[in-house]
Amino acid sequence: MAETTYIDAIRDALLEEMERLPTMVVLGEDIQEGGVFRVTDGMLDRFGPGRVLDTPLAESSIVGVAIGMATNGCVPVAEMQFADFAFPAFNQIISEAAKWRYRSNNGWGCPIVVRAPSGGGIRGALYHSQSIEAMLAHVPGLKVVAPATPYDAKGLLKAAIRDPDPVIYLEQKRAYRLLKGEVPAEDFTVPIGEAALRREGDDLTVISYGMMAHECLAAADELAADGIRATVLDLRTLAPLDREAILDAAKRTGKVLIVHEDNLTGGIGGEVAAIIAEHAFDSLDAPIRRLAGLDVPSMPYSAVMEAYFMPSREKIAVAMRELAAY
Amino acid sequence: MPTLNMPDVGESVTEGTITRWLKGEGDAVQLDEPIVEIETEKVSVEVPSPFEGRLTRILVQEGEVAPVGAPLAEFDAEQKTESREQSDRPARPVVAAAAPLTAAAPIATNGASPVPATPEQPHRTRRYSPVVLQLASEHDIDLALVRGTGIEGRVTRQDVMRYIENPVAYTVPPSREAGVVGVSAPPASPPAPSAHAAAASTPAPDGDEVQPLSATRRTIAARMLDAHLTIPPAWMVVEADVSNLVRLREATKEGFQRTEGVPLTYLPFFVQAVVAALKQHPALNATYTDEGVRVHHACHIGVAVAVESGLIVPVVRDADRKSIAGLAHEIVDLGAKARDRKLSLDEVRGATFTLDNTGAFGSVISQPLIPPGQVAIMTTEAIRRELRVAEDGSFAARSVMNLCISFDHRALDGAQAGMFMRSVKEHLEAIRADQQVY
Amino acid sequence: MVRAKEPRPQVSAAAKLHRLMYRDMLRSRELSDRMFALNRQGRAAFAVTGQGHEAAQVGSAYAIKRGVDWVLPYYRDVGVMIALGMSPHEILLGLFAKADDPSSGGRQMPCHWSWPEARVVTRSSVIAANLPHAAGIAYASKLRGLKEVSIAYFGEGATSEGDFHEAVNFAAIHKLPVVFFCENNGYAISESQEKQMSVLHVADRAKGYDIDGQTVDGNDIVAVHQTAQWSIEECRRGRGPKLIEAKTYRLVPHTSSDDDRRYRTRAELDEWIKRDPIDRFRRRLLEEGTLSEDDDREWRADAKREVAEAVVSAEQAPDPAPEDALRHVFGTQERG
Repeated sequence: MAETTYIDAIRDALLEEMERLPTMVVLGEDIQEGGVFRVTDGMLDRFGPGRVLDTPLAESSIVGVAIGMATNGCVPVAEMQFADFAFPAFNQIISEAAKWRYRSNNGWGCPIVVRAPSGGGIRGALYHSQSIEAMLAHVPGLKVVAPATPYDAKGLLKAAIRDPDPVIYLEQKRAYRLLKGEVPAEDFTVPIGEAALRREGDDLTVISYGMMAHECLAAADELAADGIRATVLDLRTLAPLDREAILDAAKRTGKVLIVHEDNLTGGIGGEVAAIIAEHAFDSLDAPIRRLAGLDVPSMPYSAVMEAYFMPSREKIAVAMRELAAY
Repeated sequence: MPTLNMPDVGESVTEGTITRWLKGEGDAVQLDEPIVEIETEKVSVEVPSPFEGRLTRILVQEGEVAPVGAPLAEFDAEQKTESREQSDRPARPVVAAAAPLTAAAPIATNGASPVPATPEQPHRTRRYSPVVLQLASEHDIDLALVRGTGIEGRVTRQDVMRYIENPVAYTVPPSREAGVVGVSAPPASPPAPSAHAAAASTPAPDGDEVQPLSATRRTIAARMLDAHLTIPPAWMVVEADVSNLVRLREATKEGFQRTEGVPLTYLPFFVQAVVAALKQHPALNATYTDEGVRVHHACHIGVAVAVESGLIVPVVRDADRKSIAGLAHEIVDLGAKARDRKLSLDEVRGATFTLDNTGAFGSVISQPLIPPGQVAIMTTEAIRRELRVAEDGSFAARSVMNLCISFDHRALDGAQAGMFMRSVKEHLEAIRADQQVY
Repeated sequence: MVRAKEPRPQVSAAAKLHRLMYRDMLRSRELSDRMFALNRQGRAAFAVTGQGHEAAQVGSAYAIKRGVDWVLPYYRDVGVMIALGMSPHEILLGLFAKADDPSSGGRQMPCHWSWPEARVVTRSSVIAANLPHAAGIAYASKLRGLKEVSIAYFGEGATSEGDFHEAVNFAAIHKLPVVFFCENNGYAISESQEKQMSVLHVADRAKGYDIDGQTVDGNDIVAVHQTAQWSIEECRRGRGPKLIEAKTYRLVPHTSSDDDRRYRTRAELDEWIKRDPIDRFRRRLLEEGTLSEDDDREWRADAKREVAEAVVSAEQAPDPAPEDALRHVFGTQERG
């Protein structure tokens, strides 16, 4: 099996699906020259400007046009250049795509994918670093995924493209060239709505997603050397949450730490904590803890302020130790 | 020697290729003068020199790839620009700034303000989490018995799990339970590897060694002190002539071993005598409480067993319903389990009276501490061959032994204790050398 | 001198068409009046109707190739839906939020049209949000080499929304087969046109996108029809998107929740009542001999009866089960 980078895994998924589905279209800004991260490199030459579409600088209509395309037999994969710029498209995503099937009483479906590079730690400052999953996972009718590994990046993107409903695909931009992993050459999907148990241990449970899943694993490694064994669950899908996996992981140890880069308040961590508190109360051995980005309007450009904002393996390890000792 | 490092030119770029060195080794270089061309996946750039001086050594050649932050060339230079750009670029782009962990970067959890290092929290010994209560209910555990290793002494889920598997090891016995017997012999407690794993003793300057207290030792110390301080003990010794018992045992022990597969010691006989006496004098089979003396119906006799790390007192339950053979088996079983640390919770709890065979060490008199939860404890001292004057004035060699009793003077008086002891003596002396063991 | 006979009514194709259109105007008006009345009677929680827009709506809808072209009407377009063949009963199922409401099974407010069999695409209450959808649909038509046209309807207020501009821009760049049909009735709820735009005519905006824009008298159904037909066929020939502005007037408040006395005068209303497009067409058809007074009386009675019967049948139709609210958040089959 080849070792593939995260970004190559995404590109491979797009290329393979474009081959398989003659009516698939990728659209967004700067797509044709490869996109600002080079995700769509080479696609124009292979599939032509009709299916590899450079849109005007107008996020709302990038998604709106995609919805129309999907209505008329195409399989659109729309790109927001950065998750931070998706907000003008929120009306189309939330008022239109999410409600399309429901409001038409299943008369129509809306099988679009909206891809967006998400997350920070790359000196991107306030408007190139945000995490938007909590706002979208909150909306019934949307599926939201955040793959953390090249394998999941490819499998989840294919699953998203094949899904009959709108899927928001949040690429971890810091991972693009940083992460390498084994990715099979043959066709495969990763089911949407299924978390991945990355590590097992009886002393405490850490639940996370995205780049933070890796930070949690690194912290777990450090603690293992001291005899503290952690279960680490990578959510992979944020809507719908894999309740069964969450509850199993929580019940195993009774001590739960939830970690995400997104701001603390109103983040996915709160929802996960509520699920555990409600359905696994009798298994709890400690209050549920969350470690997340600060409640400030995203991470600043300054390196020291950015580091202060972000959870990190060091901070996670401290929190894990406190929880294990509780 | 300052070095020129591979610059970080953009988000998500992790490495670059040297396409062309614009300066060679030995060349003089001005500040900001373009010195090398590099190419990344996103851009091609000329790098201006951060130093003024001489390029002394090229470390990465044209065409080679280097990760962001890797040194590319060495200089003989004055650093005109503070190489902040260089130094805050760690080789691993994952952490943007390496701030020291502890105080500098407080962790924002459950709120933007950092959690204080030592929170003021109430003592946690009696605060039980939902899962702890659940497990306790499922396994019928008295949580007051479970040793807590969480913060402030909290009983954690894992503490309960460990307790379920090895209750003896993980018990913090409350005043009612006889897990530990204090005698003048070295007391001990349910051993567990971690409990006994005291830290290495530290040598003192005068050659003394300080052995740190293990958790078990602390527990024993606390209980002993508690017993000593709260129970007013009184003490009595009685001598019994066990010559016939000795003869009986000598005659039957080989056959018994063959038939039963376990040795016949004196203990089963001692237990039977004690139990018979307790039936006659039930006040000795009781627990003293402020609300009254609870006289027990059942006779559960704690029989002290010496194990390598000290003494354990497993309990022979309903000893009044067991024969000599039955007692023999059970005492051997319990002894083996005690040594292997396989005693169950039921096997160390609930003793109503305790018997300690201190005679096994050769002791002739002992003054045992009364186990909290009981009103008396009796020792059986070593059997000695001594001359005694018979009724008719002749001398005879007799096997005699002392029986010592410590009793709780709140619950019992000397008369009661004395009558009990006389019964025990009478039962032992009534054994005939030719009686059936079964 | 030969005395000419009483001319028989012309049965030319045009006449046939006009008669059909006139009937649908009557049916549309009757239904609009009834829906409003039902709200005033407390039997319908909400009504939004198209009195005054019949010429613009029916006229343009008759130019659509039903089942081939894609239609994106807005909430006022009861006339478009009638012309496309949705029955008053079906429309009233929506008004009463019944289980068999074809648009949404009672989930959406009334007149939020969706009808897959006629390629009427579901829409929200968000103004202009469906205009990029029209452009996307048209893009797909072009990509797939299909001779379909999308026609999107909206009021002049919608042309202030960013989505209008983004959609027209996109359609213009790619020369997409979209007809942007604006029913300009001079008011976006209470706001008159000059508060909404600086241009005099919505069609003037077309220049900004280098597409065709036309203003038409929205109360002249024949003019509307001809304009729409030309535009749709031009689109079908790949000549690029069209912007049509049909100038008309809303004879009723914006919706049953609006009190139009707060922002316009009775005098103005009366002026426009005089220009009622139904009356206007009636006069023309009578003059041309396409319509007789008898026809007119009969058709009006028919419309009244049809709508009255539909009110009964629709009001009695079953409500959705409460648990139906849980269904169709997601679909189940994998696509592709």
